[in-house]
Amino acid sequence: MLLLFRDRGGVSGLAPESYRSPLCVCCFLLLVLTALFIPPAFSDPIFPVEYPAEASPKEVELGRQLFNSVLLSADNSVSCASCHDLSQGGEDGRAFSIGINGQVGEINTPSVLNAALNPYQFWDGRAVTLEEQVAGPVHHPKEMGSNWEQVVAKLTGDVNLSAQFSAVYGERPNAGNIARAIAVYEQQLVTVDAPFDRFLKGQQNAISAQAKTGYRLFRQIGCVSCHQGRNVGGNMFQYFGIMGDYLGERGNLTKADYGRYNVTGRDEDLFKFRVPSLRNVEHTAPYFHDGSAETLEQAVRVMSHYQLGLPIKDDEVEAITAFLRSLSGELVEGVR
Amino acid sequence: MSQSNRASKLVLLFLGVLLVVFFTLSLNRYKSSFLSWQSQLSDLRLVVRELNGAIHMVRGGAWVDYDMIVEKEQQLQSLTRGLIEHEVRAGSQSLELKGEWLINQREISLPVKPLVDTVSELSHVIETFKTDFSTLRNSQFIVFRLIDDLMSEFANSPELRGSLRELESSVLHLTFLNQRSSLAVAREHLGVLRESFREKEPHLQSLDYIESHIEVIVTQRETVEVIINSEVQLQESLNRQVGRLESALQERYQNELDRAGLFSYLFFASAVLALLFGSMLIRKTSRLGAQLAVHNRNLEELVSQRTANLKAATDRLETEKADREGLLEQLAEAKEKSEAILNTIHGCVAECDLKSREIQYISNGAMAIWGLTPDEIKSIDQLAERIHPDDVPEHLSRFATLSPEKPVINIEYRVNRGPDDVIWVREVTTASFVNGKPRTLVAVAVDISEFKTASQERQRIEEELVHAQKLESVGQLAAGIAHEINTPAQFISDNLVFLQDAVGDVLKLVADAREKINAKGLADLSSEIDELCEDVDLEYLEGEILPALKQSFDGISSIAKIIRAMKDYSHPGETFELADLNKAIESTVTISRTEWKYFAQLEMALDESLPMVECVVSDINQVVLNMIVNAAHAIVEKYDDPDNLEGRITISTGMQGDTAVIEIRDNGNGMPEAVKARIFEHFFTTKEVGKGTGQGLSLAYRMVVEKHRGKIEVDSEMGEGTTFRILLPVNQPDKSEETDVREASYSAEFA
Repeated sequence: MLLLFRDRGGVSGLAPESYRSPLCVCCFLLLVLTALFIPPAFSDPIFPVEYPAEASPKEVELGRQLFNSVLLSADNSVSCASCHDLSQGGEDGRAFSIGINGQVGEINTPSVLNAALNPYQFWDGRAVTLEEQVAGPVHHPKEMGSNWEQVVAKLTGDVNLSAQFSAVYGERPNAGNIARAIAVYEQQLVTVDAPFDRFLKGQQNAISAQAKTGYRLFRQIGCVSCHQGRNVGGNMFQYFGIMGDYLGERGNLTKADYGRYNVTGRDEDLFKFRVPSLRNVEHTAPYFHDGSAETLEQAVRVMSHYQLGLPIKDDEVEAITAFLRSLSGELVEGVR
Repeated sequence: MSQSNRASKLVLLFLGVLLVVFFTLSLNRYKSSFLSWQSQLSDLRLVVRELNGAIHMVRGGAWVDYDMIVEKEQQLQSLTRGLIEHEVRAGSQSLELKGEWLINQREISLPVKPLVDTVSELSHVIETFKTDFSTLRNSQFIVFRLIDDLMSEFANSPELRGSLRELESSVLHLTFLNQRSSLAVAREHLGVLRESFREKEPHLQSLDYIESHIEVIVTQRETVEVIINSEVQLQESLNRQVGRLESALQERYQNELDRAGLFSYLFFASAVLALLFGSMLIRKTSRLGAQLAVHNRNLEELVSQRTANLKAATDRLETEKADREGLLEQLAEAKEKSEAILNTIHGCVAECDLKSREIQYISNGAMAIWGLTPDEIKSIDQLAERIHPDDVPEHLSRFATLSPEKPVINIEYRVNRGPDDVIWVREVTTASFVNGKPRTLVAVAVDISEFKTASQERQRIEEELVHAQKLESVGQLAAGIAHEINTPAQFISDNLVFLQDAVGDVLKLVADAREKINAKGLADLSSEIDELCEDVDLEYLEGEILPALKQSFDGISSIAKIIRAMKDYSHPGETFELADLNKAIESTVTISRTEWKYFAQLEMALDESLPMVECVVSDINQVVLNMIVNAAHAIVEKYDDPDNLEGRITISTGMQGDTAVIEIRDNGNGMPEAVKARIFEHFFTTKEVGKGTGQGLSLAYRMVVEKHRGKIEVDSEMGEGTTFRILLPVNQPDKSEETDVREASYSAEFA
């Protein structure tokens, strides 16, 4: 309710002259005070995840095999699944993943789960579609260190895979259909029926009372301003460190810390990152693009201090993390 | 000889077919490209509008999530990609101008680059909006939460609470009233509070947070304002660019249509050429016939001389005979083929002798052009009868211009193929002259109705646009004038009421005074006053002043009524709201008085219990006005005697279940079934060109049936009159559901 009043206030602020009289100021104060005592109730800013659209089983299967195939890396040591482990929340639990030749990556691996719901891929949003995204890790020297020419040659040489390509696409492997198959597979990797989604659909006892308190806090203290929508985030960019200089205090700035600036080159995009989705967040530790928060509690505290500018109490942190844990869903049958 | 003849015939036939194919194809080559551009551009407009709507919903606080913005933005991006692909396709095809270009559909090329740039700029602006608006929203809320926490902590210290409340009110001013001066006040209070919180670390930290939130509010509010402004500007420029592209597209397509017109001229020219070749062939074959006859005679002579003794000669005779048969066969074949060519031409070729006025030849196309089979046509007069009477004078005058120097004319006219079957024909006529006088005519006539209707329709649309613009400006003018007149009319009527009272009082005073003087017996004075009264004819004045004032008052009241009606009628707005249909009809009737008062009497039977109806009242006004005007026109057609006023227009309203019904009945001349079936078609009119646009009823149909989900029913009997019934649902069920459900639930909870 408070949030709501605040927004309304923002709108009426457009016509300041008409509100200058003391009477109007009193009315506003009255409204604010009333608003303080009315419990929050407004339309939910988060929506349940829907089941993925039906796809051709053969195409999905090809995508699954490619996702798990080490042929995509230069020295046949790494596959997509090496870093995006479906059993660990769609990533590998490291701050920075290990690529070919044991090289350490530059940025925390984002989860592949629900990536299909994001309008941008990567922390800096440099790819818009899943297909575009596939090319990134394949070419990255510290990740798979390969290129399309090499990958296409190796896949064409693999009797099993190239037979599947002709069956599905009626043509030999090429950059376009490899990316397409992986993207089609990834579109199936959405997690449904999270307890919180069931709660949203009306099942009141799907989440604990503490989680409900957490959800209320999540909205009240403003987390929801960025982590909103179907994917609880993922659909916008935000500065890391609005109310305090997190990266400066951490030190050792790298190019990866520049965020979206690396893509657009605009000054205002410096230190701006894609707001990550909070679905399945309990399984994707460590947190942030630099993996600098080990636990969910720590991440919530950092967010509260640096993003919201708000002191937060221990019981509030516990409630919010309880809510966040209720966002973990299940993959659809038969995808794994 | 025979070989080359056949070859040239084949070439001719081929050329003819090729021309017809080319002609037909060139007409439609750009149509699908035009349509797909058009739909892409209009989709773009729609998405931009929806995107704007989504941003406003978020800004207004109705939605906290950005999913809808993102979805619309993605649609915008994919539409833009579609435009680029389209443009690339258009660009690549112009490079490979090979044989296929004749048959393939072609793409129109448009400069989409600026539009694409604007879209990517817009995406960036929306990105920053999402970022900065989130921050602003949070700070505007969190700052109060922090102050509130401190207040509840110091519930027992009135002094501190006072300070905090001061701080809160200055931040409120800053946040909601945008008063920059409050910033200094807030800082001052912060300073005071800092003093009192010395050495209380957590509280000082809270103050630090508060201070940075205030900073954020001050800067982000401006940033968001700037972002919104540039978003609005980009959207406007996007709309402008779409508009520019649309007009460029329109122009391109127009050019193409014009070019197709040019091709049709080329086609006629080639048809004439084909005809000339054909007639040359005929002449050549007849020459062959003459040669054959001579040859024959010679042969017979030879035979008679040498039959008896020359066996060798008989042998030769045999061979000559065989040759002759071959030649005859060829002759027949040649004739048949040349006729076949003439009959394949899309149009009618005819040759006639001007002296006997007989048609010497006419191709099978005669049926398509003249509605007569070639066998029925004997004389040129039969054809002349079928030319539309309006076009005959021009036709004759053009024929008069034929001369040996200029033996070809090109004319367009209408042909009455049969009852109610009129087509436009373009004719190219070539005359041949003997001694300076035209002797024979060769004419090619082609059906060009399609071109004509297309160009007439364009002309109508333009006229309609001009008409609509005029109406719009008249409407604006009327609203302005109504306001201007209303004020003086108001005080005139007030003054008239006052004068009525005052004059009555003064007259009474005079009468009383005279009575008193009489009573006192002042005879001198009394007779003097009588004389004075006589001079100004007081009795007459007493009788006339009050009625005069009464009339003036009535006049000004009716002026006021008309003004009110004008104001009601030109009531702006396109939104559905509850409206009193009876009132709307009354004002429309007042407005349209001049349309009917000279021909008809108008009666109204309005149902007083009619509920308020959810509608766009200006639309309904427009529809009723159209119907009244149509009724008046129907009456004028039937009763041309203006003094009789036999015409009756009856307007009634009533309810039928959940539906309000407006019935407009006239006793005009009605309409035949054929007309009734088509009245709601766009551009269909029975009025003269320039009088009716054929828009009124189709507009009515669109407004009532499509926009208001109502119905229009028509009863009409020839000579008896016509009844239109407009049925409007009292509530617009779907419309109200369309307003966003989320918003509805939101406001419900707010309440």
